[in-house]
Amino acid sequence: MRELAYLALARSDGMVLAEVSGEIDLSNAEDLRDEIAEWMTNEDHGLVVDLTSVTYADSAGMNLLFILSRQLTDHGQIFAAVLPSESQPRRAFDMVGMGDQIAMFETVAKAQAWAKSESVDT
Amino acid sequence: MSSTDLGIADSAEQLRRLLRVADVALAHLAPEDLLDELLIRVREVLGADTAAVLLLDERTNELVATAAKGIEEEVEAGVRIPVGKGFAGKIAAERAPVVIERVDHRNVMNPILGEKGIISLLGVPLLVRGQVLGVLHVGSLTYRRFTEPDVQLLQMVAERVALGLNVRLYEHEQRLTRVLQQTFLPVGMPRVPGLRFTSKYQPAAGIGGDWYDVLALPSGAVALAMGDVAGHGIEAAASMGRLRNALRACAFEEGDPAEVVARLDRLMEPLDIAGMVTLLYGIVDVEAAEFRFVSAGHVPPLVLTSDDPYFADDGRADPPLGTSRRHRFRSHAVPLDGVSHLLLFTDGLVERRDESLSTGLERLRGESGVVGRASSPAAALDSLVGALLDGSEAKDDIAILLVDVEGPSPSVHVQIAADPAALAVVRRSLGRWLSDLGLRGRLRDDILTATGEAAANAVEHAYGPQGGWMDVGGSLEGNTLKVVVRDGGHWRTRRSGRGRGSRLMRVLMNSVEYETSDSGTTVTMYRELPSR
Repeated sequence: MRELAYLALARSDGMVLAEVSGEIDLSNAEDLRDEIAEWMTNEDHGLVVDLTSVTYADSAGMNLLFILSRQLTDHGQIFAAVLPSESQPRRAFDMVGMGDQIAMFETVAKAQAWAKSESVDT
Repeated sequence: MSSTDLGIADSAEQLRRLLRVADVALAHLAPEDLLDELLIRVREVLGADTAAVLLLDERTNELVATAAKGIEEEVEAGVRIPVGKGFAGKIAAERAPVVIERVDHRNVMNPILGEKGIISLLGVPLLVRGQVLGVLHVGSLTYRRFTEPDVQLLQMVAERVALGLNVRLYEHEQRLTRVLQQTFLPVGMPRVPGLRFTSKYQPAAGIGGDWYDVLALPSGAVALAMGDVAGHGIEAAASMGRLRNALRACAFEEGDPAEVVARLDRLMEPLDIAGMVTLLYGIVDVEAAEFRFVSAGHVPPLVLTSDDPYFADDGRADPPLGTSRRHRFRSHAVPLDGVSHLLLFTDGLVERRDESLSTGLERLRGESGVVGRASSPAAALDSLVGALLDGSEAKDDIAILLVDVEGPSPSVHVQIAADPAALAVVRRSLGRWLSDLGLRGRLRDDILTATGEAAANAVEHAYGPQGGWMDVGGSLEGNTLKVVVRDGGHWRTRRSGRGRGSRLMRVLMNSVEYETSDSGTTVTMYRELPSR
């Protein structure tokens, strides 16, 4: 069921940018997670998942981010998600307190700037 | 250079300055402010002690003191002078300057002029294209002979002031009319299962008597009105407001549209409505599947069906309101079976200067297919107006009310395999229904998210590898939206309480109830909608 969502992956300066568009639910969340995780290497500093163009995400989508975040931070890599406020995913995530558990940003630029400062610190 | 020449050069310069002030003032100030400012300058330039402007009230044919310097009492007292009477009245009646060398009570109507001790007076009419707008006059507390150059100077000023004032008064009235008119049009549309209302109002310059209304009646039926008050400007807008309120009161008493319109017709005199009023008033009853209406001299409603659209009258409209005493209005019934839309409008939509009304109506009928093809009802109305105006500017207000008789449905229902791929299908059906109900943004998102979680629970937990079905229903009762997600399985984990999905459902909906039995699990969620 990959028709619901599209995934574009890119890498620059050791940071991976995963741009998801469409909808995320039970039918495609795991596939999306696998594809993103497979693209990551041990050399990468971290991952930014851009959900700006995601029009719908349910708790399966939250799990996707939560698991990716845990996997990466366990390996000392940086994880950030881009979720503009007023979007359906952001509201759903905020309503269950996900905002405190993963690093969320309004724009890709802000997420990348944060990721860069974090990787310098470490 | 003689001293006389100097005097002329001097006053020419003064005049230029004065006119400059006039232009600046006219461009930036409200009419009242600009008059005050101007009178100060006029008094200076002419060396007068008093200066005043009286504007014509067309309804009473009286001059009303509007601004004054040196005789402010005139404005405070609200002095009104009939055209033709006294000093100012004579200027207005003759449309010519009047000079009074020595005031005596026989030729001055306004007592304040005498009380102030004004000895000499000069007044000129404020004229625009030969029409009297008012009077501008200056006075002296000492004896003075106003000269021909004085008269010419004041006339030049008056000319400029009249032109500017005309534009400003017109713009001001335009704005007021718009504001007034807007306050009488419905802010939102009632939420009625099985019906959807969309309106478009396009004002033309200087007009202002069209109105429409949609009112949910206590019986559950919906009253629709589309009317046109003759005349223009604030007067027409104010009449429209009184009519609209009176019609609402009459409509609320219920009864056949013929009775309601007759009630309103009897109120025309007490409501102080002089001009002609055309009105289409009708009641849509979804349960009875009928639209019943009266046309008091108004263009007939267009009925859109799966076949040919038609105008729902027999060609014999009743007379406009207030034109005949105790008229017996007749109501027409339109069965709603097979009807998709009703279109109510004012004649501004179909009238063109060089053709008959019936040609215009036929053109509307021909173009009405766009309603079924457009992406949304609002887009349909835009296209319809665009097609009928065909690039020309509207000469009259246009008001349109589109009633979608088929939608939105009071409920939605999907039964589908409890499979992850079904979640998107559930979201599509429910989402379309919510949009039809006029819900959008966060509210719509919240209901979709909560329903998605309930359905995902059924997919994940209700069945074993052999799979099963789920059933998602949405319904609207009053302002309460209810979503029911049902499955026929046995939950491996206890349904309520844990997990982000269940938490989301609880925070996004007003209440969530779980019911488990041998035949399956039912989740019922409620969400209160804002009333509108």
